[in-house]
Amino acid sequence: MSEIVFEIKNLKKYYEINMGLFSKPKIIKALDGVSFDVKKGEILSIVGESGCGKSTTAKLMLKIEEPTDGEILFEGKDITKIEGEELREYRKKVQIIFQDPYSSLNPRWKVGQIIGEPLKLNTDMSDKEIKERVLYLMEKVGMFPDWYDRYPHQFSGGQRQRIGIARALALNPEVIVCDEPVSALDVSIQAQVLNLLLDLQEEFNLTYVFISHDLSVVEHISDRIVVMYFGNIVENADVDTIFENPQHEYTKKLIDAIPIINY
Amino acid sequence: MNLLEVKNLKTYFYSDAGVNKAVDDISFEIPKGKTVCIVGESGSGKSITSLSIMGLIDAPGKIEGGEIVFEGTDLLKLSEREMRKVRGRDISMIFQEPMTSLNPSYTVGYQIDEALKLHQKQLNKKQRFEKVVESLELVGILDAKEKYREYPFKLSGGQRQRVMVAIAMACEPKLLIADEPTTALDVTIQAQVLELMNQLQKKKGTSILFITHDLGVVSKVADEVIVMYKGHIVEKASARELFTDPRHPYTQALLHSIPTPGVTKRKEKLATVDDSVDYLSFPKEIR
Repeated sequence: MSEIVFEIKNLKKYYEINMGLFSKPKIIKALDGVSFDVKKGEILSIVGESGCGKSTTAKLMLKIEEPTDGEILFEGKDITKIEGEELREYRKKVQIIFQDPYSSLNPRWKVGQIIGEPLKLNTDMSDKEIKERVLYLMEKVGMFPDWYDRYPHQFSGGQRQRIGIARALALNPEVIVCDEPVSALDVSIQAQVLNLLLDLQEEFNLTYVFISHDLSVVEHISDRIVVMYFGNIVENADVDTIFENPQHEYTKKLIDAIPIINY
Repeated sequence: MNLLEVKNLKTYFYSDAGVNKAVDDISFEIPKGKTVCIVGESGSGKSITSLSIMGLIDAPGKIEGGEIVFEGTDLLKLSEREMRKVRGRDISMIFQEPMTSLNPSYTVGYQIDEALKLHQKQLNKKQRFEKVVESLELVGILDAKEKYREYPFKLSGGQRQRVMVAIAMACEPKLLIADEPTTALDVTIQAQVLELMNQLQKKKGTSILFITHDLGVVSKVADEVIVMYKGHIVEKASARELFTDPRHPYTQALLHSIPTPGVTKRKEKLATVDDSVDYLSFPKEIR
């Protein structure tokens, strides 16, 4: 059995919505008791439609938000309770690639600065060492060294996503949460980025938590799939089972809705 | 019979950096009652083609040549006043973003009614109300009478897109241009909207020009497919021909770059469109 990196137990996240002065606030149950594991070295995809709670799950795993209830064990330790130095260590090990390569990069910063920032904040590397590491990362994600001094607006969506990937790799993380990393890209560029993600996973022995609404993409890259619906997990199985023998009605409906080319 | 014929259309954009030939000499036809899909990636000129047909190209853009013949009339020769009568009545358009293309300060009913008020002057208020309710029901919105008085923010993305379809279909246009109408929607809702457009087409005999980058969607809706690349048409074929026997290298690369359950091998390298290849140097495949 392979090692478990994340163990998520009965995770809940409720949002209160103010309905006006004299009304009771309305409770939105974004996550309502979700449990699953992430194994080392696997690609686990979380799929579902808008509002199902997949991005909320990602936010909680990255400690961008705090859960209402439940535990997130990372290598045996509940990360919902950690702070200070321990939290810093955790942030190094778990990184994220965002959906929108247009808004997730600072337009005033050069590529080298963007990729090097995590190193500056989290390590005591010298400027020279940082530059070397950044150039190494740029090479790994298929960028040319002379792009170091350029700005994000000089790049296309696919190239920008490479910058985001290099930044996520900077601290040698164990897990990368990919939140819809290819849904803003053209199909041919999407293929390039997916190929890159698969290459990097192999080379750096990464674990991916891949969040997506695109089942064709998910089918291509995942080992295991968690299907979410209205804040709950309706099915959690390996990719073959999900696509060849789905158990839950909602999973079946989702798979039937994929527009697949067949002639 | 062709409803629309686009001949040698050229739409250019001018800036200090020079001329951008967004659409560069393209020709195609849309037969009556059929769905023609334009596919291509960002910057291929597919949206500019649709805006050119609607007469919505503004400075710094300019239509530099060609003809857009709709039922025997060249739309490019019409005055703005005459064009306004064509828009909404004969040709109407569904935009990509259901969240931003409805006016937030008017009710849903009012916005559908507006199209009727402009183009179907023979109807009185009561008849128009009935027609609006009918068109909301047609797009599968339940409790249409209540929804008439709702503002767009109360509706979900799928419902808003249905309202957009209702507005576009209200005057029973002969040609419906749908620019990525389902891209912002969840897959199950996408399937519903595609089915809806299909039914409307069958009922009313509308021709549809469908613009998308999603080849999966194309295979569901298209009769004919036009593949655009950097402002040019590189391949034109029936949907069956295109998917079973793609001839242009760009089309082939595009088709192979999509992960397809049951076809592409899991975790195996996907084909990519090669940046170093000049796809325009290959002969065009127009069947």
